[in-house]
Amino acid sequence: MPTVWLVGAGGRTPFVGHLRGARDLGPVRLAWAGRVAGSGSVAEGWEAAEAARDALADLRAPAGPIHGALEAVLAAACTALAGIDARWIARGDMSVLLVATDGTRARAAGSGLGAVHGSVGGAWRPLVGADHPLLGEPGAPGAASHDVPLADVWVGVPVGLPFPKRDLPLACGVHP
Amino acid sequence: MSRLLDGDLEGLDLRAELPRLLATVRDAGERPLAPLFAALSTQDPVALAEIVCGSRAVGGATVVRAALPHVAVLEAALSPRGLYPRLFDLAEEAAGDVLALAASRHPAASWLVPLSKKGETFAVGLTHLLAAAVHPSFASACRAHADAGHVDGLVFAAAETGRAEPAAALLAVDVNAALRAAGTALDRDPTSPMLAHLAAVWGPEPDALIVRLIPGLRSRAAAEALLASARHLPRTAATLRAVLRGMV
Repeated sequence: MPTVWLVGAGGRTPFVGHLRGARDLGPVRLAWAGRVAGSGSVAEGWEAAEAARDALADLRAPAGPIHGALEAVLAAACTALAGIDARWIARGDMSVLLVATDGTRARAAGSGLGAVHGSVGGAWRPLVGADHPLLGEPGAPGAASHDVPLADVWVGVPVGLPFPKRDLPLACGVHP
Repeated sequence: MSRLLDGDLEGLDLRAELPRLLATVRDAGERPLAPLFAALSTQDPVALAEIVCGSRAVGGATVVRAALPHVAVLEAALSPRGLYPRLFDLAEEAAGDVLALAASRHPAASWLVPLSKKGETFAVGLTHLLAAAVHPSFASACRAHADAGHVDGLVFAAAETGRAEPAAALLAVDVNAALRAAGTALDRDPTSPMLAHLAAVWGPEPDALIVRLIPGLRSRAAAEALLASARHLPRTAATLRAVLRGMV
């Protein structure tokens, strides 16, 4: 099942403000990984991440035609994230990668990403070029989404962080 | 000798009389050193430092205990990093007093970690951690003791303070100990922001981790508080609901 990871920061509390999850919304599988208030305290990060989890938990399956469902789900998710408490948005430090798939194609939206890698056929490779519009400054994500290659795992790399050369799952807070 | 022990230093060239002062302290027996040390602390702190922790220091629990009220004066003569380990080495059965005083005055000091290892045989690090719990350096102190392998000290500190930082620090070195610390901290203070601290170290999906600490919970209040903050942790929430049905 496709999943999304986000690389954690260095140090002893690398996952302040991190959230990760996935939901099936009608024909669409939406997966996400993000970081909200990651530059804040442990308590602030948790509260902000809980607010983002609440927002994404309230999403509903698109009511319209299947055509455009990926775009609709991503737009709704980005709108939901942009609608969390203004104090978390105002920090301008949100990094998030959202991927919607229907089994035949994948689209992504996000913010605060310096790179997006993916596991395709068991090998990790960059999924978008350095000038791809999915990459950009931290903050609430816009509603625009972009086609991305299908993958087993998509990995967002927040702006300013390197793609880990080893122990990628642990660097993303993924435990066996 | 009596005059010196009474703190009467009038007319003395203290530096020149240092050997006599050292002999006086060494031979004081049961007589109190407090008047002499009080006089030296105001008139010649360097002479006091020589007697208490210099290269010819007399040493012993009595001398060190008598010097501790003047530790601020001694710190002016010798850096805390040098002073306290030296006092500790000279203190014999008063070593615990030195460690406690050092921890209370310098809770952020990294040299307290090796000093704790020298000075505590049970729950190494506990003295420092309890002192640091009221200081902003508590989280970094917990990490330093975790790195040094002071597991029991961190678990006891969690139980004593109800704070989440010991468990979070242990998570990087010993997951089972971290869960023990988390459980005891929540029993002590159910409002402890445990999930936030553990998730910050572990990662964004801590459900499988948190569910493992539930068997260690002893209080209903702790279980209820954890349930209240576990709305996005389905396994944890389901297990807590089941456990709470059987808890008094």
